[in-house]
Amino acid sequence: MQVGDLIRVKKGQNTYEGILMPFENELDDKFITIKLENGYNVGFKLEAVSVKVVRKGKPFSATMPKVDILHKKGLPDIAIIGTGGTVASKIDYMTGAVYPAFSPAELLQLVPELGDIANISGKEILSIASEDIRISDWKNIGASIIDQFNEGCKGVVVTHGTDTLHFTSAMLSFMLRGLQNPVVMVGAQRSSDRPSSDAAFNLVSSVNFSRTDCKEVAVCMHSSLNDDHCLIHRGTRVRKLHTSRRDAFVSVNCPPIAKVMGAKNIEFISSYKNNAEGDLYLDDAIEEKVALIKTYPGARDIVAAYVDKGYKGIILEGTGLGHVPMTLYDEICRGIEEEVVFGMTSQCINGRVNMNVYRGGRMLKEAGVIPLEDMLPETAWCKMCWVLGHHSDYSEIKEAMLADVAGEIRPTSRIDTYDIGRW
Amino acid sequence: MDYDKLGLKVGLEIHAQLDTKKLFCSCATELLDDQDFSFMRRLRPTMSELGEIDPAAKDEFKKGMENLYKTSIGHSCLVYADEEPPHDPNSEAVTILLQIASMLKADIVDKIHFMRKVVIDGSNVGGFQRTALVALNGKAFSEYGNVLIPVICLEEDAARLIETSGKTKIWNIDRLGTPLVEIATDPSMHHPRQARDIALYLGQVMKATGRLKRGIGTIRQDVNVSIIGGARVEIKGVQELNLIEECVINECVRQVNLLEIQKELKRRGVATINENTHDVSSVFEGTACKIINGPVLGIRLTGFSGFLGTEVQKGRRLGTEMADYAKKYVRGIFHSDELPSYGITPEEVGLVKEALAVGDGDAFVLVTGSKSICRLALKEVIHRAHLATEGIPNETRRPLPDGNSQYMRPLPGRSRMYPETDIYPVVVSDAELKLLQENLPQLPEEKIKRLYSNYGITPENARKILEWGVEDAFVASQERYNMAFGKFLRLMETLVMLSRDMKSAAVDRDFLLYSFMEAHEPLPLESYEEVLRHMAEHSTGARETISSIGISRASDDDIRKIIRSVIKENSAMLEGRGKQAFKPLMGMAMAKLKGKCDGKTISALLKEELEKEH
Repeated sequence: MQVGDLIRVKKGQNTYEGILMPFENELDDKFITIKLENGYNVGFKLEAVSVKVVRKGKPFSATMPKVDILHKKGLPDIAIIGTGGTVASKIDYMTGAVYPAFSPAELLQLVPELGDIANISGKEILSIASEDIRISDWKNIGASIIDQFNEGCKGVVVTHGTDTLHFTSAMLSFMLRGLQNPVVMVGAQRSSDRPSSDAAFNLVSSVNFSRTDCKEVAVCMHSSLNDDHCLIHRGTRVRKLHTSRRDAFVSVNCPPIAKVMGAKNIEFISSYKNNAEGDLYLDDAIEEKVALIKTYPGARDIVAAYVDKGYKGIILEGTGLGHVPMTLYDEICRGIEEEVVFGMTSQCINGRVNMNVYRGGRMLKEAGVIPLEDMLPETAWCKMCWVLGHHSDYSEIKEAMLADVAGEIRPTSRIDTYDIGRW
Repeated sequence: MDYDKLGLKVGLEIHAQLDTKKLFCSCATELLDDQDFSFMRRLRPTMSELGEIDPAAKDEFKKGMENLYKTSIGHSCLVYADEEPPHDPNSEAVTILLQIASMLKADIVDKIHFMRKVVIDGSNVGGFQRTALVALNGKAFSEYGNVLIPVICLEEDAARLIETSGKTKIWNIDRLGTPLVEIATDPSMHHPRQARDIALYLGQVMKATGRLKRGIGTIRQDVNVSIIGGARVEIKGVQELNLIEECVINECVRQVNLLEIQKELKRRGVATINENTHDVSSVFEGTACKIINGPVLGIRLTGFSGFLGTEVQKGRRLGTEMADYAKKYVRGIFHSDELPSYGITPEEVGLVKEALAVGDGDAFVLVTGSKSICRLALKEVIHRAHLATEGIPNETRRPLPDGNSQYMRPLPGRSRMYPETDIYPVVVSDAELKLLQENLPQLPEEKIKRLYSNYGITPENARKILEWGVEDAFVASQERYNMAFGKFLRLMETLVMLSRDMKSAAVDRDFLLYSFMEAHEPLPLESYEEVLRHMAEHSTGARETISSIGISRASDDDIRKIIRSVIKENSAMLEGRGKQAFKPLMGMAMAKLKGKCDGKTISALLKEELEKEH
């Protein structure tokens, strides 16, 4: 008996026929689930039924209708790279399985507007849950992007699960040197198998923006609960601030770059990088032994644990202006003695750290903890990984951490960028 | 009509709202017309396993249809804005479903899986309705035969369409997510009365849980009807029980008449419909017809003479059915069987016939509007004419208040369902189910038996009480208010009459019932209507009403006094007519005592007083 077989279930005096559905998890071996002729799935206790196979099932074949893709003159070539998370998918209504759609034919079938603004090519290079992404994956993604540009693409769109999308966008911002064209990262907060998904609109908007002269890594997501425009965020300045809303991604400490109305117009909001610096290459020298630690009242041992494990860098997500409880002070000092580099960010997320105001801050700063200004904790972690891949001397590291590489750090705090909690 | 000979088959699908919180969040399910928050969405068609996209859904998307969802902050959370995954299914709703399934002796599944049923018209913010099959193979009972209930489901109600303006549909999401019990019967019912009885039975079973919402639109019935040679037609959203029977009868009539037309068309050799449309605008230059205000296009329907005016239901003709199809684009059509009329002259009809080459056995149809709209409308007419040659189209129809129905849309194809992966399936625990089944509400038949054996009323009256849904009030009338059954019956009949009379929503029946029963003692039957009407119109209690309109039962002494005065004033007549005088005297006494006393008492006292005179 296999998933997909038509089976007959006898329960008492009743007999039901349906397609055998996949088991959901190992704990589930007490039940059998079938899809009835009317489309409903129902589950029966295995011990209460007798089961017989009526007909062997056919495997699902995800064939798509043939579409002739014409290369349209005058439209730019845009590559879409898939890394997991499905911006476009089709559903096997038989088993309920959702299959990602990635060939250009599939993408154009599902999101026909793409064909009006670009010549699309698509490629899936990874298929992982975004929380499982690793440094080696970032190197892969970076290399693929370079390949696409080398093949002549005018822009690259990277689809990505939303959980860690802002880590990837920050890491790519550091690793991709000499960008000549946009790299736009895009995700969806509502799965693409549902008609209300934000995936297609986000994808169209990101392809649209990838045609501009912006030479940065950006993130394109819904700007509100409405399906009317997306915001383009700087890759090092964006953070997921809501677990589920489609406008979960927000630019922190700076305005977004632009507003995109799907396939229609683009409205720039703030300045962006439009001059290229040197040639395009992937700088993926990365130190993997870097930790990001959030402190809390009375915290102990959480720094020492990493120091003992031989970590080279630690980004602290301290409280307020950049503080940690005194209970961690000795652990941090020991780490510094053992040449671990510490950078300070704030769990306030918004605003800039300042370690001069209170004594605790001053003590940490004097011990050697680097205040990382208005940098986001996640961005700071990515940057530390990248900087430690290049430098080992403390003062060089400090200088590099505080230098602006990809718009991640600025000396001035704009007066208008904190809009959370306005009523 | 001989329904057995016609091969009548009726199936029912009943949806009833549960009076709980929403199915997948803890927001209230009360309707609320105030809105202070809105968001705009476009639904995008999804692709099936065969790479197919529903053409209707694609069309809607291409047209750029937008949905503006309105709600009130505090009334709706992120879940039904499709901005947060659903919470666990409302456990009360699940329990109510298990109760209903048990009462219908259905086979309850061990593990309830929620599914997503794709709905792209905007009525569900997510683009799908969540639904779960809870039980299979239930049974419903009626005097005309029992019916199998293949599926009992728990699902979400949809948003309310407020209006469509241009490309924007405006919805209120207050109703979205209200738990619904859906009960579908097999299509085995063979008599209109049976459909009505089964609907009543199912309604009573659901109501027995005490957890159904009350009021207009809380129970909706879809009726599926077919006869031999006919087609399955779904009449969607019949709200009144009594309309079910009529709907079935009228649909039978319709299908019989349409089959008759088909037969006759075949006899006349009409197999294809000429699809050429002609511009006949020039005929109507300077016409007296006020409806025409722009181009007029027409088609010839070869061999259709007389059929467009043939009634298919009372007051509805084949021409009406064509107009219903065309209404997607225009307000109506003109056809040859009704012309000349609407200010169109016989001369104009003649010219049209000439232009369209309409022969003796032919008919024609005209529409007016912009040329492109006219062409689309005529395409619909041609489509419907073509269907007439094939018999009866599979349709979803809208019930009309007179029991007839009107075309809504083609019958939808198989629904597309796939698992709702955001919700963990519900395992039905044996212990919980056992406890629940040991404490089930009484079934309608058991209730009837209990009522007539406990309170000495007839089974028919017990059935009536159940149909009215006033068991509790009846028991109270007997045990708390000491009300004679005749009085209770009069009270209920008056209330039923009033709620039909007045806008039924305005009458809070429970309030009227209990307030009245509490104060009923001195009231004569004759005053029930006046008191209840006043109570309903002014929302006042019974005691207050009685004192404000001055109705009170006079004491026997007072009545006697009035009767005596009547006799005295008419002593001359009494002398002359003797016993014959009783009738006129009774009439006069009744007039004087109107509303203060019932006729029986007056008659008895009058008799007594007249005896004394002799």
